[in-house]
Amino acid sequence: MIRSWRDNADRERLADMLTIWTWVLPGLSVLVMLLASAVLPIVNTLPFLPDLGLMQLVAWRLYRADLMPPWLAFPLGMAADIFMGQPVGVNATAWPATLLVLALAERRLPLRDMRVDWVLAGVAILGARLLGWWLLALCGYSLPAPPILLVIAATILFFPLVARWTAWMERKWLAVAV
Amino acid sequence: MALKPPRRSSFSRRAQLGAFIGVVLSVLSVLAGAALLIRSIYGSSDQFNWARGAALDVTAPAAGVIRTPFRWLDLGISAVGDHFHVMERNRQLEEMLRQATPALVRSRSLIIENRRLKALLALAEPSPRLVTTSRVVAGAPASPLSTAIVAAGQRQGVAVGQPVREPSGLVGRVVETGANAARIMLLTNVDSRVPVALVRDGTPALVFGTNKPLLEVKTVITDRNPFRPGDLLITSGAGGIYPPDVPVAVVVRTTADGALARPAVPPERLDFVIVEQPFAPRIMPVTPPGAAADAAATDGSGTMP
Repeated sequence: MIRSWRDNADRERLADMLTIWTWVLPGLSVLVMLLASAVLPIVNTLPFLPDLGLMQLVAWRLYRADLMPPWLAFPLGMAADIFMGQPVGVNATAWPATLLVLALAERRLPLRDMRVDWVLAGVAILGARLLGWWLLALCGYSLPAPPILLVIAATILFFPLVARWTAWMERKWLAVAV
Repeated sequence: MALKPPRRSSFSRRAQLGAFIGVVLSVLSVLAGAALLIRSIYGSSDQFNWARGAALDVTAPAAGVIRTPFRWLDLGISAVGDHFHVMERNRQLEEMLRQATPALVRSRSLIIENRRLKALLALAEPSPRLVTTSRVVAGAPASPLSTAIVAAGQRQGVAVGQPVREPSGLVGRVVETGANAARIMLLTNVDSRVPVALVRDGTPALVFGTNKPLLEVKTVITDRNPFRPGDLLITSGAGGIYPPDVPVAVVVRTTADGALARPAVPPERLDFVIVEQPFAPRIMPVTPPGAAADAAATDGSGTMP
């Protein structure tokens, strides 16, 4: 804070306090995506819906790395496991591990455009889902490959849409007025 | 536009410390996830039942509301389709009825005969008991494990392990319960195994879910493949969970060591389902301390209410 607390009017104090909510927005948006994919009215044997939660997570990591530290992916991954009815620990391991690797990869690419972001996101999504697949197999659920690959393809294909949505949220609620 | 350069440690000791703590926390979170996973694999019971139940209670009502317009749309489309195919359909149905009438008469006489024979033998059979009837409100399209959510839970008497069916066939069984919602494992789930019998000759077999639209059927017979395309598989009642004589699947093609079958109830068409008590009484090895007095009053077979 530039000005002291005492100098501020009540309204400004309130505004200052309310800026704290920006810290929860990324996590909250991932939860909303998880909830959305849990309430969709499709009962299908072939899961082809893109993994909305993972897309949102990776998008935040790529656009606002400061608001999406890898450790935040741990509670979010737990929530994802519970919403999807998987053994708890599959996404809770795969998500923070993916973000940690992504954090290391990001340092080597200080200047990126949309295409590089898409490639990075694609690799991250591929890695997270394959790791999740392997962990599920460890839990005794060995799944056939084609449906998983279909979900990965759909998730990578639709990533730019979620990227746009994330950018809109960032502009609307998080961007600091200069 | 160039993105801002990645955060790197500066001269500030505080920033350095912050970055270091972030890395440590992140590595710790991966390890914590792995610990949870190990607990899920080797733990005796699921520690997150309460959270799963709460999540179901949050999602089920919302899913029910969201599903309504889709259901109307579906009904409208099928009504339009029916309108155009009514003549053709009528002809088919009349033909089917003509063929089925003799079989129906025979089966009625068989039912009477069966009842008489059972009465002669004084055969005791547990009858399937209804728990509740409910609507399927959502699936789990984002999850690799195929499940569905029904809008009935513990308050309606739903408990883990109960079989779920439709009038036309078997749907699955309950794996998680919330207060007002439950998750059912569909037949296509990789964890699903259903003991079945071939209607044609009674050959016992097992139906496996493979997470694909078709189910896998395997049998212990090794010298020949007993399945033919079009064969109906019904539950045999073995294992004690699923009630006998419920249609499970129809064989579509044979494979080297069994067959592939289509579920009798297509999972994408689920609407109202019936939750039943497990078919046979479950044998309890240990009586819970609270119920010990009640159990002592009744004899050993008192577990089936």
